[in-house]
Amino acid sequence: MTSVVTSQAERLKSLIKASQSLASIETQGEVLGRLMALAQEVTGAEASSVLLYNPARQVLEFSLAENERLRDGQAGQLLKPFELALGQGLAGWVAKERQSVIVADVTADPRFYPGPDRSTGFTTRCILCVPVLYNQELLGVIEVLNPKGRGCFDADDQAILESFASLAAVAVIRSRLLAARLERERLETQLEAASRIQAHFRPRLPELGHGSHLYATSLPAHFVGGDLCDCLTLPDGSLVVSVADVAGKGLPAALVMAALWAAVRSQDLGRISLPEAVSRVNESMFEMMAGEVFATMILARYQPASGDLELVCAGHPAPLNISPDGFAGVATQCTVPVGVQRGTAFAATRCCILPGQSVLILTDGVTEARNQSGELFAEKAQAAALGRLSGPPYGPGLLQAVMDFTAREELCDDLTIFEVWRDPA
Amino acid sequence: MTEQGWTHEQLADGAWAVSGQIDFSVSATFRAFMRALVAGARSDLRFDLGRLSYLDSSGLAVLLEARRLLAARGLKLTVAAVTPQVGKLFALTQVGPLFGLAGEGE
Repeated sequence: MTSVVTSQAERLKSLIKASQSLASIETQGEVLGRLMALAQEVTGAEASSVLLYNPARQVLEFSLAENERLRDGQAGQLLKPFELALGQGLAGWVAKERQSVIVADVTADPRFYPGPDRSTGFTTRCILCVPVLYNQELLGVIEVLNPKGRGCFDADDQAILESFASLAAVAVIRSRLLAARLERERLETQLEAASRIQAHFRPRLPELGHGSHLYATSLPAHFVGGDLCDCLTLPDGSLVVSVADVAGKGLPAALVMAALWAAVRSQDLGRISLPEAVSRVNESMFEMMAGEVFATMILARYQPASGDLELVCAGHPAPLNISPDGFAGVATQCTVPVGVQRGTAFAATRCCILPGQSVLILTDGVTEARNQSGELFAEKAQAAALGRLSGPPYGPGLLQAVMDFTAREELCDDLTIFEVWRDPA
Repeated sequence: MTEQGWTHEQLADGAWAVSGQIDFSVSATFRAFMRALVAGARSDLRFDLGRLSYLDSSGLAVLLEARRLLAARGLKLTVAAVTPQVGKLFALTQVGPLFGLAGEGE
């Protein structure tokens, strides 16, 4: 009686130790190793192994193998070459049936698979194998072999090994969650770095003189985005502005945006016309993306001294011309976006920003901003917001209106506002 | 970003009706559907988008890609009907005529 109580006390201690291991060790390999050592100790087994289930390939793979009768390294021979299909061998049967099993004489059981024994030189005579399950999901199996100093394992051994299997299941799930969290953190670190790099694509707004001024903001929906906002001053004092919106969001759109930025900047904008420049960008985009991705785009040239604005619109929302009396869309000869069709003919439109007027070039992240009810900001709220603003720059007030409307930290879509305005006469 | 998805069904006249909302969050599944449809197409594909309440640029890119793949095989992708929102996107981007729609999209 005393020895039974002592044995139960030892098993309870082992379980407590195993639970503590879960709290103190984070990697799956360490936790499983510790659990297996304790399981082997408490069942008095000569050897033990853990096989984890690979659901993609539907096989059991040896993950850990301990064997005190084999020389160092021999047990490790189990790890790489062996895998078992569901139903193959005793471990495969346990995995398939999700039932524990004790086999006193494996030579008399046709389910026994002798491959591992042949490989290591170990002789299995008795086996206890239990499934590792988490909410009915099969994670693997644990087996212990050959109890020392007695004929075979018993129901108490099965009960304690099933307890260890429950702990192992928690360990596996916990390590998966930790691995997923680490992977997410790694990706977020990369995205943060990408976000910092993409910020360098945003233009440093030049001083235009002649009473002309600039405002620009470009915000990605999440870390990085597909909106392009760029400007550069040409030797003749004119300003070339490119605002574009790559289809899609996130990293893929950001990569295309970077390529688009380079494609625009590589054009000899001081020598060729705007339609020719957009045509070349279109061919470049189509060649690069094979028609899979497009970008709406406005390429404009502004003369600060005169207020003359020439622009090419490729599937992009028309710029807004705002004066103290109200606002209206700038009439454009809009074509399809860049990247849709080879050989598209683009056309330029000319207008003049008069003293006291402002022109806003926006991406659809403004009108397609959504509030928490899923409603769109849309043109109506945009018009109301602009109507409430007293004078240029209108961009900051419009941005604030969008932020107030969405009432959340992240935007639904990448958003760009570019504004050029002239002082009143 | 919408949280609703999209559905599709083939109508009695052979056209495909796509309904619901397609944005960046579901455009990958829409693309997989369209690519499979294009791969198996033996004749022109016709779409009824009269119950598609929202389509963003990523969804439009899928339609354009499908059109291009079909065109490479001498086939067409046409759109028979659009909702106001989708029509607005088609009109803004001037792609309506590419799908056999009038320039204004509706």
